[in-house]
Amino acid sequence: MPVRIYPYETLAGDVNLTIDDVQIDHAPPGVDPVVPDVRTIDLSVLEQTDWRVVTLQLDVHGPATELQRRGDEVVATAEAFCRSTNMRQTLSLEKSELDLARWTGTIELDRFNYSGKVDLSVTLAGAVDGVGNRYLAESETWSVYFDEPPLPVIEGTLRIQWLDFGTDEGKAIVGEQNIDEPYYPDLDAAVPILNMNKGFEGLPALLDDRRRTDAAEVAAHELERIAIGADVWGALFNCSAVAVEKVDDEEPTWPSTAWQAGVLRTLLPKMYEMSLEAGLRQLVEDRASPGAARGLQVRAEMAVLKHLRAGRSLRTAILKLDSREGGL
Amino acid sequence: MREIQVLDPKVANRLTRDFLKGDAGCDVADLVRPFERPEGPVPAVEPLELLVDEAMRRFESPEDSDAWLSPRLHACLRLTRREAADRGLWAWLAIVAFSDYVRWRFPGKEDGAPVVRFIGREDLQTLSRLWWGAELTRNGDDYAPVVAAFRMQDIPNTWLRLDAFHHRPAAVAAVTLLQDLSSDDINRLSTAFNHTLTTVVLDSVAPNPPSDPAAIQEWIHEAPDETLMLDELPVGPSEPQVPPEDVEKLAALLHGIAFDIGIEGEAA
Repeated sequence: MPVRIYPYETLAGDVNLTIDDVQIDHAPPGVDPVVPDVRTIDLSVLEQTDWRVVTLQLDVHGPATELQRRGDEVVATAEAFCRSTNMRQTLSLEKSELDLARWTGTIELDRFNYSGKVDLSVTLAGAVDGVGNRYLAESETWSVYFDEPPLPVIEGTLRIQWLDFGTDEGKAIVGEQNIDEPYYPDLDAAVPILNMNKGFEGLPALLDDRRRTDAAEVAAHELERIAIGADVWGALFNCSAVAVEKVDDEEPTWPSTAWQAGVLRTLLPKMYEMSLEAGLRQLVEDRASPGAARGLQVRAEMAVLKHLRAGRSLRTAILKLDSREGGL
Repeated sequence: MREIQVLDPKVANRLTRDFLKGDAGCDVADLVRPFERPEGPVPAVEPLELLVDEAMRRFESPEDSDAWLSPRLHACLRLTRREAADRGLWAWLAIVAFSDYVRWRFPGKEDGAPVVRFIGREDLQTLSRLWWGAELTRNGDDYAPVVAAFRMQDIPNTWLRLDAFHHRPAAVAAVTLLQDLSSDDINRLSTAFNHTLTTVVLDSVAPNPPSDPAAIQEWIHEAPDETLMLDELPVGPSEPQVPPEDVEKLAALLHGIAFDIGIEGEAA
């Protein structure tokens, strides 16, 4: 969350939002879409495709000591906001009769109103110096995906598709001129895909996920994986960076294509030691200046290497090679 | 009747300068896919053609046509918000069905109509800005606030992008108040309002009424009659209007902000 300084005292403690129950069309879902570790509800994993309504049971706990000290009426409001559909749905939560710091409520989200990602959070408000409806605190945001997330929720890695570039199917995707290449990233798709060439001799064996014991094989696997990953993530970053729009003196806006926003949210914190919003502003400044643009490319490359944990992979490869008889 | 369709995002690579200027077409046949709707009729293009042609005929100034066309486009192109979020739909309308209208509305300079007017984000693209402007500023089935909003271009250009405009009582209150302000004051007030909302929780001032999906579905299943819209304002989906007392609360908040930043006249 961005750091903000308020001109009055807000609540210092955390506001915790948990999702106690999820129902799809008023019945339990066949597959659990909730990933609490990353505060995500991924509805694209549901087996039923024609569902209409998702109902979420919310439970909110605020900082008990501070709220008790305030002694006044603090209200909690849940907000579901979807950038793609400009939908802002709110729900006043009910305060527990026994616990001043607890609120609950049920919010129902209709699929016709939402697309892509919905941000779900809770805000606490109360009076400050006699002025009502003042912001006091907010919870961390949950992400509710109504469609397939652009990057897998857990790892943030690319989708990979293996196909023979020399077949008609392969040529249709990669083009005749690329049939002998080892890989081809498709960044025009709604969800970016890395197409790997099954017809490239030895490549599937080099890059598959099986466990390896031979040191040279391990080294080759790690190094090639990093090389491809760095190349493709570099392309993802460049596509995403140019998609940031800035009109006149207004604040820059995140790319409206979900995967592009996801790439920037992944890499910007590794590029700049500042909030995400400030990082986005810095990106726009740097790309506009020829001198700073070179530095921007270097920052992006280093961020990609950090994201791919290239250093660790290289050390693994070196250790493996050094462990052979005779060493490196 | 010809049904609306959707374009693949790859179309961005095919918009040449000659196309933007209107000197060449754009071959997108391989990028077209059907507009999918699980239930209910798919909107047809012909009613929209009548309205767009009428807008170009009726108004000498393209800018002045927005207030007339926006509510009528929304009433003819009956979509859920989920459907309206598909940029491929707006791209198809702009590139395949109404490219002449795009160039008429936003002629640009020597390079022709700007690309963003064909495939840009929803507040910039020529047709989606009209649809979303109507969707965010209508008060239930009443499109009168939409007409008022588009009479002041600063509202679609500035206020539509504010998060506050997704709060319907705030949007309705703002449109009423802004009518009496100059362009500079409209923009100053938008900045001040945005700042105020970092400390004031809008939904504590007045709740944002929920949408009524059943009313939207009923409306989508009705076929619009565009021939009745030429001189009369159409009627929107039968969602409840915002309670007047909630609009008044937001109006009071906006009046207070206007006063604080020294905006004179009716607003203060």
